[in-house]
Amino acid sequence: MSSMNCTSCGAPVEIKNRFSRIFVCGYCGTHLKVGDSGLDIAGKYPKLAEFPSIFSLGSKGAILGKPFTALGRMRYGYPGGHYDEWFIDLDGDKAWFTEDEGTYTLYTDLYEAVDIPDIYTIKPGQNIMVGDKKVMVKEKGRAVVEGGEGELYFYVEPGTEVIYMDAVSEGKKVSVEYTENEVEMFAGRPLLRRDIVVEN
Amino acid sequence: MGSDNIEEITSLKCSSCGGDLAKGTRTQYDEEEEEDVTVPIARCIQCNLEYDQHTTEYYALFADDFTYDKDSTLFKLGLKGKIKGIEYEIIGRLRYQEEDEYDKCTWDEWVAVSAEGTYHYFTEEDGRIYSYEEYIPESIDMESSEKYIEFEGKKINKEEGYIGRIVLAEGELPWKPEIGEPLLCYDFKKGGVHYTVEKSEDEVSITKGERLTHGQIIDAFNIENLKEVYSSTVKKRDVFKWKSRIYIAAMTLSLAMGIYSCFGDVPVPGVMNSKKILVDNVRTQDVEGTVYESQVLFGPFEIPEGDRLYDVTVGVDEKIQKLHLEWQSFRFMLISENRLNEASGGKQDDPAVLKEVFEDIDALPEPLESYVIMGDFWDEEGRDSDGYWHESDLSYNTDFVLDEAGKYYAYMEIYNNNVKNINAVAFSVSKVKSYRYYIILFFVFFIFWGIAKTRSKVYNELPFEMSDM
Repeated sequence: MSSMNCTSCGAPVEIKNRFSRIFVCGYCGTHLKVGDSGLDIAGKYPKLAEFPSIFSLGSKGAILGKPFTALGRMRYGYPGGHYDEWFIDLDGDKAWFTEDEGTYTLYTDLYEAVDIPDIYTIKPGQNIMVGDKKVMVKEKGRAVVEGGEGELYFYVEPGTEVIYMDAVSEGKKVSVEYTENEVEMFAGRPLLRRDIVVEN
Repeated sequence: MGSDNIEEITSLKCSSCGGDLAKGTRTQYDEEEEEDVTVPIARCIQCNLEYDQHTTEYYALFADDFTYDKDSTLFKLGLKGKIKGIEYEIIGRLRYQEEDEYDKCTWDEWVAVSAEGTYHYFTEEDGRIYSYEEYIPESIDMESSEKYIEFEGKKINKEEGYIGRIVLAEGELPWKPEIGEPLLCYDFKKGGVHYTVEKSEDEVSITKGERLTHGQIIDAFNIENLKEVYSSTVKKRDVFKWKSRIYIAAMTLSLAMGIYSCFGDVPVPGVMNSKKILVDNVRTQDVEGTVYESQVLFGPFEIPEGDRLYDVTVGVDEKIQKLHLEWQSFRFMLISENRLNEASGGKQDDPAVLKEVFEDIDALPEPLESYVIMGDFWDEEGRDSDGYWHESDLSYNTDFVLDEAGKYYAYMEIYNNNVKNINAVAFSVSKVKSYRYYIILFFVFFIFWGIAKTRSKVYNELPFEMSDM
C-alpha cells in the first residue's frame, strides 16, 4: 500500500494493491498511470454513471469463502446494455469479477498477450487455440470501454472498442478481450449469488 | 445482449424487388410421403419470388399460424416462484417452430432470472416442462468430425440436430432476436441428465437441466387458478391408471384361461367302444372306376351337454394300416338314439334293418342325422421342377354344436380305391373348453386397457396440453 497525491487535483491517492497499474481519481476523474516513479496523467474522463451493482468501490466480503476487496472497475457498453469488470484482491491475489445483467463470473487466471487467430474470421462453435489452450468460442461481440474507477490492472482508454469472445475450455469459462494493442484471456467460473458475500 | 423491446416483424417485403409478400402454396415432391404434396410458401406478389421455410421471410409472414395458441401456456411473463429454494422470475419468452415441419410444431423457451444471479430457461414442449441452466462442459468440440459433436466424451450425431426458427419473442431477453432467426439444436441425455447445445449465428448456448412436472411448477409459482384443475386432472389420471392396471390383470387372466382351455379339451368317452359293421369293402363301380365301400355304426355314446362346442377328429390310424399312394373318402354322421330308433322301428340292434335304413338315408323326408361332415384322406407322390415330392392328408378336424344332450350314434361311410382295413379309420369326440370366449374377453379388455392407458396420460382439464407425468 502506498500513499501519493493526484497529479491533477492534489487529492490524496492510496494504492492498495501491488498489481494496480491505473488509478482513477475519485475527486477529479483523472486516470493516473501507476509507475515506479509515481503517478502520470493518462487522461481525464467523466465519472461513471451509477448503475446498481452488488459491489461498490472498496466493498469487502468473501467469494467462495475467500476474502476479497473490490479495488476498481472498468465498464463496457454494448448495444442494449453494459457490463462491469471489477478488479479485486482475492485473498492476496489479483482476480476479476464480471457482472453482466445480474450474472456473475469470477476470473482468476489471466493469460496476457496471447496469440489468437484472426479475430474477425472466428465464429461461434469454432475451436481456436489461444496460447496453448484449445477453446470453443461461444459468443463473439463488440463493446466500448465506457470508463473506470478505482484501481485497475489494465488501462484501456475510454471510447476504445474491444472485441470480446466468451468461450469454454476444460470446464472453465473463458473470456478473451481483444484490442488493437493487446489480447488478454481470462479463465474462471460462473458464480451464484450465494457464492458472494458482501459485508459493506 | 439485453433488449426490452422486441420488434416482432421486421419486414414483409421481397428482398429482391421490394414487393409485398403474400401467403401461397406450392406443390412439390415429398421424399418421405413419396408423392406430390402441397406446402405453404411465401411469395412476392410482384416478382413471384418464393420464400420457403428455410427463409426468415417465411416465418415473418406465417408467424400468426404458429402463435395463435400463444396464451395456452403454463408460464406467463412476470410469474414469480421458488424452486428448490431459489427464486425465479419469468422475464421473457421465445417461441420456436421446427424448420422441417410445415404444420405447427412449436416449443416455448421461457427466460427467467434467478435470485442466484443466473439466467434460467424453462421450456414447454408437447406438454412437457424442462428446467435448464447454463452449463460449462469439461470438453466440447463441435468440429470434432463431419458426423459428430463431442461432448464430454459422448458422441452426438449431427443428424440428430434440428433447426428451430423464432416465431415469437416477448418480454426481456438476453439478446435481440429476430423473427425467423434460425437456431440449430441438439437435445440429448447423458448420465440421466438432459443437455442442450444450441447454436445460432452469434452464439453457442450450452445448458443442462431436468424435467419438471406441471404440479411442481404450479406449486412453485403458486398458480392458484390452476391448482384445482391440476389436482382434478391428476386424480382422474390416477383413476385411469388404476383401471388400466385392472384391465391388464383381466387380460392376463383371460389369456391364461384361454391358454389353459386350448390344452384342456375333455374327450367324450367310449365313442368307438361299440361297433356294428354294416358293409365291409363292398366293390362297386362308378364313373371313376372301382370303389370299395364300407359302412360302420358306432355307439351309442353319451353327449353330455347340448348347445356346447365339441371337437371331432376323423383320421387314418396308420398303426393299423398305412395309406400309401391311395385315397379314402368318408361321410360321418351323428344320429340321436331316438331318431335311429324311430327310423329302424325300434330295431337299431339289427344289422339287416340298419343296413336298409342307411341305404335309404339320403331319401328320407327328414334328415336322420343331427350333424354330418364329409372329407378325404390321400397320399400322393410325384415329381416337379423341384424334384420328388410326397404329400399326404390323413386327418380331418372340425367343431360342432348339438342342440340337445343325450345318446348318439356315429355312422361312418368309407370309400376306398383299394380294399382297406375298416378299423384303420378312427374318430374321437371331445368337449372343447371355451377358449374363444376368453380370447374375445382378452381383446375386449385390451381395448379397455388401451383407452384407460391413453387417458391416464392425456386426460387433461388444464387450459394447455399436459403430457404424461
